[in-house]
Amino acid sequence: MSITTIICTLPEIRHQLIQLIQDEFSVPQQISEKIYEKRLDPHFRRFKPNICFVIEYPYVDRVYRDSYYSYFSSKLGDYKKDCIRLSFFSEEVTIDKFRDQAQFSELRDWYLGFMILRPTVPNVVGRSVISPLALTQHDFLCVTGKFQTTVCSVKFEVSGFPHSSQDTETITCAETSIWAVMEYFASKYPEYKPVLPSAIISTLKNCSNFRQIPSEGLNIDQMGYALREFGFGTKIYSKTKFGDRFENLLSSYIESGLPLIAAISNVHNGGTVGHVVPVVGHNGSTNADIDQLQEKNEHDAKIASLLKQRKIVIIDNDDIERDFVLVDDNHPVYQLALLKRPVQYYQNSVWAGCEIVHFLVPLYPKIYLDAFVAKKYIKTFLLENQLNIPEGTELFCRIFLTSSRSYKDFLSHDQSFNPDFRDFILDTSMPKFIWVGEISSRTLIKRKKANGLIIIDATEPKLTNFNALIVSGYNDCFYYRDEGSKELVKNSLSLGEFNIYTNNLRSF
Amino acid sequence: MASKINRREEIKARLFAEGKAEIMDSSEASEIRESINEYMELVKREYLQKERESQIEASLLVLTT
Repeated sequence: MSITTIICTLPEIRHQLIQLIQDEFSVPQQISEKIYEKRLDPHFRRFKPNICFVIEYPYVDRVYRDSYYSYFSSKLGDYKKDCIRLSFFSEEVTIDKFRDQAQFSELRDWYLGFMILRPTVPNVVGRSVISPLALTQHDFLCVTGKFQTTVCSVKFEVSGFPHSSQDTETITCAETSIWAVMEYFASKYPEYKPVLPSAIISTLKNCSNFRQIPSEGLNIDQMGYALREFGFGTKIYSKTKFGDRFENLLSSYIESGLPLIAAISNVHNGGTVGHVVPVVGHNGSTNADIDQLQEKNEHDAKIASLLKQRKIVIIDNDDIERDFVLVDDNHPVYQLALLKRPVQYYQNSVWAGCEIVHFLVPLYPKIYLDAFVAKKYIKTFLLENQLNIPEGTELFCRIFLTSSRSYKDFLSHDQSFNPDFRDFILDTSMPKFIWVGEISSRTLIKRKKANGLIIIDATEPKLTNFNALIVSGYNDCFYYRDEGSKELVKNSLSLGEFNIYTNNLRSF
Repeated sequence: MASKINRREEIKARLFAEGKAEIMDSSEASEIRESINEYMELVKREYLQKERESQIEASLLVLTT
């Protein structure tokens, strides 16, 4: 059996793929055309016009082969087991370049990802990783993993978030979301491994009382169970329970560089949709976003009273209304939507009234302090009298989770901090994960600067007696908890303005 | 020649020596600490309640679409 390669441009891809789907997946031309128009063209329409395609077939895809051997091969119908692989380059390539070592570096610079077409007609889009740079509109911030692959036998690497459409039999939206999140984490951290559809089904065997395939979807409990089995300390937030803080909390986890799984439904509005998508990023913050940001009504009695008493206004970065980046298995990767209208890109009345009703956070299992508690702690600490924040001050707060390794690495490179404050933080022992509150103002944040900082221990859920406080500071003083007396120590030191941390989403 | 460095301890000692550091053990500071302690206990209970209720509610939603 031999491998055939086709190299073509964006205007030529339609003709090539219609013919190929017809031949390789044994479907009539009419159906092949329909598949292209409905399932593939929406992806390619968003591509930059000069994208060059390299098509290789037959291709053995590990995810589809897993579904094939665990399910499709058990059916009478003639299901193919081979796929087609599409690879994308930013410039025109020729087959000779793949046989000339001197050209490999340039080819690797041009490489923008891949998409597998599997013979699960009509849902042919399988495992894909597409760099945001392949798209005309790519000015959003999102988490990405690095994925190795080959094109014409040459090794390549692409940065992106994994995506696949559901085949509706072995994987629906729930399994696809778990698969994508696991692929992402496995690409970033050695603690995690990618999972195949059969592994998800097998993991859920212990908590399923009924037949599992063909898949009839999962509920959130099952998703949480699977994620826990795959190594996460999963947390869940429901809109009806967390109320007006729900979207704020979702935003703070995204700001922390964590992909979330959002459950979208209109059942509570009389509909029938129960859908789930990974949320992986958001649009960058513009000056207009910062100018338009309003103080939200504070429903927490204690914080509201402190705000009033101290005449301080806190505006929260997580209250900025902006588009978030969704990886929806019914649509091309990296859809942008407001959290209030998460399915705004659907043109179907069935989806009317859909809202994000829950979200799951796949947390590292030793993060014991969640966003709801951490944010309230940081705000209370700010508002109690210690930090000498003058009356009438408007603070811009940005609160996120990060690893202490990444934060210290950022600090060690950054020269904008007061040298003593920087050395003090760098020589402070920290847990693997920390919550960071950056205190700024509308003016400062536009220059990506802050003048206050609170770092708390994300492995310490006990927040009494400043147990979790690592360091805090604002303007001309900073605090730490003295190990001996267990009391706070106030230090007079001008902190000045310093750069904000942007490593989680690689920008702000 | 070996050198032993602990900048954090050096900075702490220097700030104390310069009179720029003070331990917050006044009665006012204790009141603030107690106030934060009491509030965070309430926040923690509120969170646990909301999280448990979220789990119960979410278990009813089937994700198929």
